Amino acid sequence: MAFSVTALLLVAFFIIGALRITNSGNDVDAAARAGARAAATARTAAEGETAARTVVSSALADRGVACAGGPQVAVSRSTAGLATVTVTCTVGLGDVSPAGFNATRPVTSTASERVDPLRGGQG
Amino acid sequence: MDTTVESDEAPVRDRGDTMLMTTILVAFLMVAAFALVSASQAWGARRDVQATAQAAARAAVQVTDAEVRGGGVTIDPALAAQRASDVATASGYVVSVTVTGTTATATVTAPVTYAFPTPGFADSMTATASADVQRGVFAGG
Repeated sequence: MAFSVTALLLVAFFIIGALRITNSGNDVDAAARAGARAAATARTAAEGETAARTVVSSALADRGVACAGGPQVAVSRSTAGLATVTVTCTVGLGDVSPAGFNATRPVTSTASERVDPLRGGQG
Repeated sequence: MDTTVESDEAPVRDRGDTMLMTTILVAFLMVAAFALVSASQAWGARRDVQATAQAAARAAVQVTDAEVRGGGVTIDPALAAQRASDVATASGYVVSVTVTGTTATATVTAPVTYAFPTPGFADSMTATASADVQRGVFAGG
């Protein structure tokens, strides 16, 4: 009986942890895309970075994703006219660590969008 | 005198059955969990590819001054493909672009990597989006 309960609990922890990681990955993907669009439509690179950080934080908060220490956002604009946003979110897994997960796991996503030449052409 | 002693433990003869049932149940739950995680990853990949197709279509119709002639717009298919490719390859995806008038249609194909490969899930995803020079993305949203 003890073996059965332990095994089923470990399976439950595993399912919760795995789904938390994949769902957080999907949410971070969506946040990175939204951030890239915001960066691409800004008039300057500085405005784009500010807009991307705001949008990413808002997108993650709207989806209920809690990143340990807050999301890390990197924004860049290439000379080819691409705005690229990389979002890293550290997902807490301490409560399901008995299933073999580390206490935290970073989830990273990158998205690119072409800078709007009419609005963001000033580099 | 009644000497029967009640116990919470299963009779010895039933313990093997419980162990077997638990093993089968855990194996079934693990397979179900793998399928659930794969479905979640496939859904996320689908959304990602669709969003990349939209971004590529938007990029394809961001015409340069050279493509605006005599008050009209003529999308250069080669330039459109290059602009779309810049966006798609940044995500590691492959894109093909077709141009019809002032409309560009981008088709993006991307491989999907599963944490727990499960039979029945696609190895790649394809999505299509169309954008117009004046209206932006109007299909594939």
